[in-house]
Amino acid sequence: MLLLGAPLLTILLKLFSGPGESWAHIKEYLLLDYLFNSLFLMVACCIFTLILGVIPAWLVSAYSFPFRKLLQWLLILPLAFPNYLTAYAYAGLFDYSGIYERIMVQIFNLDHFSHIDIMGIWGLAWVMSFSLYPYVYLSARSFFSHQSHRQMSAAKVLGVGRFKAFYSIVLPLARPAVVGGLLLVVMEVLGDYGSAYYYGVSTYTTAIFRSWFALEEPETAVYLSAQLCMFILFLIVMERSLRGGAKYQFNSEGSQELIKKTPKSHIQAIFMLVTIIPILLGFILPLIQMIYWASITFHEVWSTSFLSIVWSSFYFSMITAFICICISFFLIYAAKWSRSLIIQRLSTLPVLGYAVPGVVIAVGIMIPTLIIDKWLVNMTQYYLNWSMGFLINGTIIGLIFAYSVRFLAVSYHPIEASIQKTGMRFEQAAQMLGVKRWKRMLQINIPLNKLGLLSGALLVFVDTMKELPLTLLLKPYGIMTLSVKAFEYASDERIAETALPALLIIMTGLIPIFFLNRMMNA
Amino acid sequence: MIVLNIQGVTKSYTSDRKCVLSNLDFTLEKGDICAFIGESGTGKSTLLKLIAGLEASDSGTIILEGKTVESASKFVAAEDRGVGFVFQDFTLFPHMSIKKNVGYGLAKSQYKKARVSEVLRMVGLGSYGDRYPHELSGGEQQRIALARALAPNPTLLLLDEPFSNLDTALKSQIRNELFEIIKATGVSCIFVTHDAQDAIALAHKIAVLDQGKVIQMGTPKVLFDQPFTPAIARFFGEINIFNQEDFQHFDIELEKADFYGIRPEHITYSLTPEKNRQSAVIMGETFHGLWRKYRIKLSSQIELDLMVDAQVLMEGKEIFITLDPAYLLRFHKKN
Repeated sequence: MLLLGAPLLTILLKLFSGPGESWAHIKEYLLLDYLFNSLFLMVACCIFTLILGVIPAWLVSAYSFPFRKLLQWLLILPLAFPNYLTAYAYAGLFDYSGIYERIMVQIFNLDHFSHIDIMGIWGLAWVMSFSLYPYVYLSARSFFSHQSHRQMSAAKVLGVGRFKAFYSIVLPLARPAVVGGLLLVVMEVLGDYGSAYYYGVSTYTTAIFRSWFALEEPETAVYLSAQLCMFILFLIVMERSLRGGAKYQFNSEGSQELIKKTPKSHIQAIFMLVTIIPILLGFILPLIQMIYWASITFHEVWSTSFLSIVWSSFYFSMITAFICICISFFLIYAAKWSRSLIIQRLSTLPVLGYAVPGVVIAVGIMIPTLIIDKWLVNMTQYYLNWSMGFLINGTIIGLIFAYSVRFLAVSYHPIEASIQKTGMRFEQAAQMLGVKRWKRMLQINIPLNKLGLLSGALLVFVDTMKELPLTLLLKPYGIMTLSVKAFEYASDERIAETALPALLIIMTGLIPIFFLNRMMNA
Repeated sequence: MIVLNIQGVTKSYTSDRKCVLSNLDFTLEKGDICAFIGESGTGKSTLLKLIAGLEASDSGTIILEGKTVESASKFVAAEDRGVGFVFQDFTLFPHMSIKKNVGYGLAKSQYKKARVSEVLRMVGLGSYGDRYPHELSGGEQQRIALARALAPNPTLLLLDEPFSNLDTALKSQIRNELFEIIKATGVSCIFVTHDAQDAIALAHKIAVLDQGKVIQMGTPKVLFDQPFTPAIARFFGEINIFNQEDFQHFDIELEKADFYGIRPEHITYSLTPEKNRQSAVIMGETFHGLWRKYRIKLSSQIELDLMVDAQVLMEGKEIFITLDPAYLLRFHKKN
């Protein structure tokens, strides 16, 4: 736990030791820009994702219209697209030679007046919102479908219409669920590097990178990271306290599915259109762009070295997934067994890793591990007269450690939910038969929670495949992953070449979405 | 020979700091079947968990077959106590076949297979070895849970509300079958239940728990005929309770007590006046299948319940009742 918490602790402690020399310059000329851009993106994305997430969630939960079931799960698909890949696709779509421009010029005969410059802060907010709205959609849909039945029934017998009941009763009750979804959106927006960098928008995260690489001043990077970290922790505390003040009570009867109303056919068509828009703009259009690019660049990109990149990505993701589910399982199991309240509380701490942007974790890992590495090198030199290289920094071990810190929460939650559902009764039954702890874990707890473990592993696997800023900072020299390759192509203005690695990441991302949807419908 | 000896066991939960068990003492002889009865939340299931080792007590000593398994300085884990446990919801491992479930607590040996077959035959499900728990009915699952607990030859068998998950129609049949098996093995057994009828039908002795304490222990007959408190009496069936002042109206010579009680079916009545009988009026009726329960009001304004099995009495009708001293229960206030 200490190992997992070390990066966070390091970052927070640096708040007190002060920044580097260029901090004064950053503070004077750049900080306001970083702050404004980050806050603007945060607020804009919250408003957009709120609209894009809540409205379709309500429509698919409360009304019956053609293809509703299909649209219901298609709405989750943008989750498979990391937001930097959506950003690349949109840059292509609205480019001078892009599909939009061609349609405008060739079909509608409109010339340069029609050009939309997406490469700015508004464009970035738009692109990110279409990529991130599923977080809000999923939490809102889950609430509307399974928790609003009783409230709607109560409103109905009081003679209140469906629309009024929605905004006056269901929506206020759904606030904790929706805010939970929005918090995830905010974390993604603040942690993003790939999209902001490509769209030329300076944010806190791009500033951390710039301090580290361009200004070569790790102290300032750490200082900025600490500020970002504090802000996110503040948001989490705010969300918790808001939720604490709104402890709504829902009983098991309330978990019935909401009865769907069938509106008139023209209203059904409007509802269909409203639900199709986010899918079209968040998934189908970027996907078409990527497929088009992949078809024209396939021969250039596809090679043996590309296959080795694919393998590295899969390999790192698999190891990270395995480590994360092992640690999560162990932590939850230890907390369940332990009679100590302190252990029970501490076991949930490493889960905070997901709230912290990848770039902050990367910076937080570099500092303590550099000390350990230097110490190890000196020790081996002194005692064994053997000059060994760094063990953690700039190695696969360091990278996988950082992934594990970042994504532990991703595996922790499904495993915890599964163990909570199974309870302690099977464990106790095995115990009463005289079976020892390790055997019980292997033969009872792991098989009974295999679905939770599998979904935890899958989610970590996909998130690791997508992760960009952390990989960029910590990947060993000479090793490449799909996300970094896509980023490099984009940075070299070879945007079309990003498509093949992008499609592989997206295809992998689709697997847990199928699982997620099946689990939600179960 | 004493199988289980509990001395001064106390247990409270940190969440509400409420004392679930308070300074409890208890012994169980070899081969005995004992039922713990009490309302919900009186600490019955907690007691089983403490004996099993699934939870630790705050203080006190638990001795199993002469070996201390829990004291201030010692705690033997559940897996090392050699106690069998049948859970309320049976808790059969869903991913294992029946024979794997039953054999799970047995060490690998040449006798394992034979022992599994033996206990499966014993519970009358010899051919069920290759099935899975979800293919079995509730009663069959219960028998498998019993077979699994008995397979390792436990020194003590614990059953937590063993019949609460069974249909009422099947309950008495399964209840008797199950305890025939337990009696045949000769294993000492403790079960907890909130149903007094289960306890009366199956146990050699019954312990009544209230607020973490054993308030009375004895054979089923003793508890039914001589309950210490009105609450215990009520647990075994309906009862009319009156205080000393009310009781004086009946003009019955009986040793003094703080409260007196009589079950509704033990009140004798006639339709015509007789010597030493009191007049009463029928106030209302409740239908109980074979029985009818009447609320009656005596001339002294005392209201009682009367249980009648054959005759239908009209509301407002006058009857004449008497209380048979042989059936009168006496209770004393706690000092």
